[in-house]
Amino acid sequence: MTNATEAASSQLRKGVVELAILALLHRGEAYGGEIVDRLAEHPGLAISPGTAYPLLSRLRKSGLITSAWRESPVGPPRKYYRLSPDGEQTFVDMARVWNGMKDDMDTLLGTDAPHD
Amino acid sequence: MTDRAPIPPGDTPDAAAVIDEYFDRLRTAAAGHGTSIAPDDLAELRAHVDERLHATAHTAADATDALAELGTPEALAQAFADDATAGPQGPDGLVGRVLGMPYDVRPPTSDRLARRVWDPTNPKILVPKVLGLGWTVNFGALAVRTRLVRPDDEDDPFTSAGSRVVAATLAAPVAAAVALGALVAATWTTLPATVPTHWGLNGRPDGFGSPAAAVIAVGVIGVVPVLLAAAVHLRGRHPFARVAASAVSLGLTALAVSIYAQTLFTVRGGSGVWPTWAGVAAFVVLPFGLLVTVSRRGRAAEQRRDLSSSPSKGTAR
Repeated sequence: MTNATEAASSQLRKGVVELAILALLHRGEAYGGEIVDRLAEHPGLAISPGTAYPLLSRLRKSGLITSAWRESPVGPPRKYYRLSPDGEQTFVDMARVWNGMKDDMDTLLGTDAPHD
Repeated sequence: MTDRAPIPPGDTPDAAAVIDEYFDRLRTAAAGHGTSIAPDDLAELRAHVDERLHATAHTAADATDALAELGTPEALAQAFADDATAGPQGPDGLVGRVLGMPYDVRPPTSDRLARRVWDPTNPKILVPKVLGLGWTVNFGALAVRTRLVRPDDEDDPFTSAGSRVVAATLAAPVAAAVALGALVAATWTTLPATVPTHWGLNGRPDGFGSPAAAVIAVGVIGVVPVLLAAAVHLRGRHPFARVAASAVSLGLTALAVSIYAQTLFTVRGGSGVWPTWAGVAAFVVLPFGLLVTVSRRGRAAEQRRDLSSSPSKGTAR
């Protein structure tokens, strides 16, 4: 990938990863390391902790997620994140936007886009 | 928003007035974000509005409709400001890179300083300086790397530790500055007419000056930052900014003590620059220790809040 492609795809991923984190937390609460690991299971969505933590901080500041410490079965307590009621609503809205966008993008890209 | 007064069709000056007002508000809002929108971008926005108005009667209401599409001027200015900070070049070239080195010549703020010296969510240890050319240490990244804290230990840095802890952090640089003052007061009359003020890598002095010049330099490095930190505290800034100001001024005062100690050491026949190296070490270690201590106290306070209360309770902010 060239630098320009890299920058553009990171821009593109930023918004998508935000939705991915909301989707993940919609299924249940998770701690920071767990969020990074579970996104890494999907190579297209994999993000570094350096991307994940600022994003979590921003989501928390905008009131979409909340955080609370919980005892861990192994090691020290962990900080868990969950969706707030606002976050649940935003997730539903964003998922709807995404579904519309996904179909439109598929149509727009058509057969021009290489799949690999 | 603009009033939709009944305007006779074709009354173009009103449309122009509405558009002018919108762009005035846009420029004002952009200035409020510390940025300005490039003339090309402004021209393009105007062209867009003109095009939308093309098939209309050019009433104030038409102009309001066309402008509504762009959102409020404040929201639009915010979008431009976000875009400007996302790019490598900051507003008006005050922030950027020269020969690969970052520079920032905006007037520094205590908040920006805090975000640079303590950002545990950013894994980069060297981050652009708040003022000047080059890098500064992100102690937060260093603390995460050394496993002393985790990136999300504190919801808001240094806020959970409590106001007493935050206020107490100022005691460290103040004590260091008082120690510096006492050291200077006790020894300053013993200094010869010319004292070394700069040392080469081999440890031999290669710059000399009067004792007064040496003392003034040490005061500027060691006392002025503490006064600035005290101002940040007294003005009741956010705990994040206050603790960071304490930590940075503590490091600088420790450095100033070592520079003065180096002068004394050389004047009294010592060879080598170990006092300077000790000062450089203290310049990093002392702020690091202070920041990590406060952060860990904040984490402990958050844990006390959450782990003793009902296990399903979250905290929203």
